[in-house]
Amino acid sequence: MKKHKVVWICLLAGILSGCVGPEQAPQDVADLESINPAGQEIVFWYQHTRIREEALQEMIAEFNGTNPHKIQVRGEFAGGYGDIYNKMVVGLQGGSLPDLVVAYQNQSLEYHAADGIVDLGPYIKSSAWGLSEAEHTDYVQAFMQQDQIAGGVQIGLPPNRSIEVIYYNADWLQELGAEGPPESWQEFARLCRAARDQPFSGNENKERSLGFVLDEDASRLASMVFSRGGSFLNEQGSAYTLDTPEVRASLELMAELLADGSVEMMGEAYGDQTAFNVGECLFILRSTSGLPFVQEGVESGVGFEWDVAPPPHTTPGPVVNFYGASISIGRTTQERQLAAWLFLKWFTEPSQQARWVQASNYFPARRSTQELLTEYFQTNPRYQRAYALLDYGTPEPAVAGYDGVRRMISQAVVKVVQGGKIDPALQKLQREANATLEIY
Amino acid sequence: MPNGSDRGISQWLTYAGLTLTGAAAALPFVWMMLSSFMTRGETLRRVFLPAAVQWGNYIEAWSEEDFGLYFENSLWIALLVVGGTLLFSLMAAYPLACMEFRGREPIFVVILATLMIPETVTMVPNFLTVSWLHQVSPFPWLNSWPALTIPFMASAFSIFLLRQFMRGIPGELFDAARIDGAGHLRFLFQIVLPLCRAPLLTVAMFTFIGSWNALGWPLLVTNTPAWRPIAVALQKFVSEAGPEVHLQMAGAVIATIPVLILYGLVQKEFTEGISMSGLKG
Repeated sequence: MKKHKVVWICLLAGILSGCVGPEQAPQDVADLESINPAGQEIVFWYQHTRIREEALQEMIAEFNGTNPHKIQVRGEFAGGYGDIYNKMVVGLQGGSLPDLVVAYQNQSLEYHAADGIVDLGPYIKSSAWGLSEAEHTDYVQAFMQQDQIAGGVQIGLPPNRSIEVIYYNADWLQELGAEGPPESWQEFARLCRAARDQPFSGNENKERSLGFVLDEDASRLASMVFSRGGSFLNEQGSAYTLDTPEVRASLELMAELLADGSVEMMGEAYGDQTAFNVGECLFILRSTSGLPFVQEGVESGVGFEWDVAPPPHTTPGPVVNFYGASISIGRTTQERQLAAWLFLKWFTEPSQQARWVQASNYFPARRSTQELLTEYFQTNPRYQRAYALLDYGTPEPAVAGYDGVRRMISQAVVKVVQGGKIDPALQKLQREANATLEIY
Repeated sequence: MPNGSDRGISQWLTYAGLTLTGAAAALPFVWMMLSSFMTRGETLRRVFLPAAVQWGNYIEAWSEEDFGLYFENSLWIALLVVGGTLLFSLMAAYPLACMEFRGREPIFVVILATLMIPETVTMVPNFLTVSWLHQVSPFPWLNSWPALTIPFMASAFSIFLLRQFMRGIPGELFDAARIDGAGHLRFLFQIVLPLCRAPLLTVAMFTFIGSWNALGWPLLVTNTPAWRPIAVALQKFVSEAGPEVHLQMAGAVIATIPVLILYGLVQKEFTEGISMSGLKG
């Protein structure tokens, strides 16, 4: 019996010893200048598929073939953002971590808290491997700041971003007598009601005529709140601001329009785009990365003139919600971390950025990239118009646990716009969202 | 007592109800088939019928995402999981149903209790175990078939289903076999196994479908297409900005074919297995 017990204890100890800690012992960045990254083989986990993946793989192949250190990057599709997060979470508990990983800021904060990714600050500042002053300032600073946490720790580098804009049916607006897209939310509401009463001439289903299709996604609400001068988080980043006049006004307007039949809730994935494509819906609020999809949808649909504009606003100028995942470097060995940094630096150079944004339709993270996009701007004027709005961008909260809060926001949106009481819903949302900050 | 006319109305209502239910069940499948023949524009416009049948979608779906490889992987994974599940479930169900030993009921209750644990809860410990095995075993577990198949060869549901069926086998059969000199193993494989054809095929069907549709775990334990299943290929037709429904549905039709073939082959036994193991409502 005793012998059996000993065997079991040994087995358990073996299992535990095999399970603790990442594959390689964490390495600090000491004496970065003398590290030699030559010949390192590194892994990059991303979520891109199809055209974007093809472009990314081509660029990786080019890097592998041309970099002087003979670093070899292996790009791996690791599923969607949620799948990558799951892989990272289990990786942090004992599995292997990738050298490069795509992550939203709230996710990379969790990885950083678990010591799974490294501070990019020393790499950026390194005299041998880092960025020059001109290169550093060439990054859109608002994007860089999204990846910075207390103490100036840089937990990721932005390869691209997108913004949320209003897509509008220009032909229908003209039929409604409007001179252009709405600049205020009152005008937006008026046009939604007008669209309900006067279907678009090209719409083959006159039974359904809407001003807007509301997606309960938290980013849509963020766009509405930001354009009213509000935010989701206080300036110190210590508390959510979800029970505010701006959130209230956004939800009340949507509830009102939903009640009078000029707005509908989105009932299926991409249902807003579908309604827009067939001329059943005047406005949709979406990311600029969907521009090619809308273009193809409209062209194959009833066909009409359309364009993009900043969301209506009560602020003096437009305010747009910008977002996008960054790339973080996993904590592995000093050599591999440096190799990963060198790829990341190369990938965000303007010439690579120009190729990447043309394949992905994202916005570049480096200002000087636009000089290489002259032709692309000419052939994609809507992209150019949206790009001009970058300076009006405001990000969503970059705090750990925000994924969960996004789900809470979606639930609150549905509850309120469908007739639920707004005060208790927002108070509950505020309370529960703040509770997530305490966990982290 | 109902007269002929009442019976006629009642029968008509029954058929109408069944037809409606059947149509509701078939609609998603019909929609999938129709969408797989559309252009991307038609799926974006949400039309019901394609203007012209786009056979090219199937060719594109098959070639664009290396479907052949993923398809083959799925087949191997499903066959290994089905084989393992049948073997281990049979071996576990038999003593729980036909043998008397101390702790039999508590063991069965513990096995049943594992059905209540969501997959997400077991994901991390399972991954840690597989990672450890990857490090210590002579053959690789991660990015290979062992991680994709071995953890799923022990299924509480299959054990339960087989045990329920085996409880109906008369004890006299074992007594007779014992008189003829058979032990438990011989009795299991020569007498019980042929009798369990229907529930075994039911287990095989459920296991095959579960394995064929798996996505989360394969993504976790594989990083390259070498052993990735078909569900991963289907996921690649969804991008952040919008889906390619026509290709996704063409891929889904291709992915459904083996399941349909299997169901066609075991339909009779499947229904029998469900009813005989006491699972029907």
